[in-house]
Amino acid sequence: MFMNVNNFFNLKNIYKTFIFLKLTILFNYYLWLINLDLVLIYYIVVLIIIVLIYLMFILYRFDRILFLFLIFCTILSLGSPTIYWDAKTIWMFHAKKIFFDNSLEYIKYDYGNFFFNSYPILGPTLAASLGKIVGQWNYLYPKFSILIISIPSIIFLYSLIHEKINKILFLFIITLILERRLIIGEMDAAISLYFVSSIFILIKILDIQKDLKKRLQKNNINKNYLYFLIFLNLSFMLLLKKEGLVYFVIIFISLTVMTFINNELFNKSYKKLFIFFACAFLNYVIWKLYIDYIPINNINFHPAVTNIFNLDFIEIIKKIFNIKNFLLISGSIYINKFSLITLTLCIFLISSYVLPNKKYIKINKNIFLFLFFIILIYLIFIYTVYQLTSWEINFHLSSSADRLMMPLYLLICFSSIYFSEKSRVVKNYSKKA
Amino acid sequence: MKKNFIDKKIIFYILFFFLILQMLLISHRVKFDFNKLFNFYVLDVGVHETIDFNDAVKIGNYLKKNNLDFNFEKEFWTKTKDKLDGKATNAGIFKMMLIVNTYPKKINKNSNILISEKYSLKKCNKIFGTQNYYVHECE
Repeated sequence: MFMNVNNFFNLKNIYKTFIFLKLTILFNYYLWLINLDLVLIYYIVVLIIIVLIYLMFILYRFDRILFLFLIFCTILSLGSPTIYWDAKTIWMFHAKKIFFDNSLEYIKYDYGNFFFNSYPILGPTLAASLGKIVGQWNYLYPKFSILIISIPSIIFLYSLIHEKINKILFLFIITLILERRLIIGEMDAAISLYFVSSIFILIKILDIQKDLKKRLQKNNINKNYLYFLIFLNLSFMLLLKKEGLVYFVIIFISLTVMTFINNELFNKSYKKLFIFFACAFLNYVIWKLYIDYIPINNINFHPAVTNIFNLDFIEIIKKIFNIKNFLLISGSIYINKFSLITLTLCIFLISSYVLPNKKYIKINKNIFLFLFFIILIYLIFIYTVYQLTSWEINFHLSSSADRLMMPLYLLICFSSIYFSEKSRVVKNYSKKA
Repeated sequence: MKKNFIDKKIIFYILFFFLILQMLLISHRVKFDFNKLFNFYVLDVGVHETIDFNDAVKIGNYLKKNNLDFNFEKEFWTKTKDKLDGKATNAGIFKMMLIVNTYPKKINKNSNILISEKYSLKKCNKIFGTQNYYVHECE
């Protein structure tokens, strides 16, 4: 009757549930976009809540730690006000406007254009739909929608780890790196989780782990589920926040570079992946067309980067290679508590478990190279954004550096936990053999 | 073998303990309150903590209660225009918080209700006010 925890997570049902939950959230978003029918939105929200309860029920049966963690996050989310600036003035305010207007009218009239009306609205539409079920607006429950969006990614990443000690370490790292951002109504934590989970779905698809094929057959998981999951993950990433486009491009370029390095492993899946990447990108194109179709005199770009368009090429190059600012940026992104936690964990786990296992490194050298490209392109993006900022650099760094670096910190921490566990498993397996 | 098992178990409990501590720290930082949790569905709960600007809460509630669309006085608009350095002034924060709080009551350029920092305006009657900001009904 009761299944083993690991078996449960490998079953195709969990992937099916994720796909269903994400599809309903995406459907809810498109219903608002085409302004179809409010009644249908009620049904969709009820469906989302039922799927969530089902997920919680199976977690309660098979993994109490994750269950308790998510329940605790839910309680914190529902019992705390929306006190952080971006959450209350951008994301939850967009949701409030959708809720009261019963449409996306605020974009049409560009109401309060200093609140970035052209930002993607996957999160706000779900919050507005929750509002329709509750019946009235307040400053507590709408931000729970962001946690709902994050839950599938948390469970997916958690399911990739099998040792109890690593599972608790992963949850601890979530609370250290993402901190309160998971529950305060901002998109940064959700987009970080989607960034990392997209990369690890790709790792699964690319068949890096030698035993993946066997496992897929054993648990009867159709590989197409993973392709569909990557499509939904990338779509969510693109529709959560504008940075999603950058993360999408980072992943895509890394994948393309790896394919050009003439790797059989990457070549095999690239064509199919390209189609799913293109389908996911279509979601962004639709949103962009929607925004461009409306004569919105708003900021298609963040005010911090608008100055770039007034500069000529030489000025841009001068700004990019400004050494003083380069040092300031480096200080800000490397000397902080998140960076310290990430580096400590990474150095400890990789040097203790991965580096001594030369065989494991050799088998997985392509995946390490793939991750290296992602980290490298990500850092180039960070340096470029801050070098070209229109704002005063110290102010811009202090207000956003930790947020922008969060996906990278989470990626490094999770990769360290994941690969250290895998390398130990391979070592023990080869010892037994 | 047994020793290893105990070590892992101890590490597990230590991590679990720190996880709980971290969650408690987060609950403190997000101003978690059990009263709010039990009233999570009630209208306008958390408005004071969210808006966090007493003048914006009071004026916003007045406008909502009396069903009034509003506009800001011309000078106030200029004063609170976004600056390139990204730093907002006190008046700028008030403006944003008032807009967030009052919705669905909106800024209406034809409205005769003007919000200003000035105690009196020409051809206007002060109908409501706080210590720093005033609501005027103009001709």
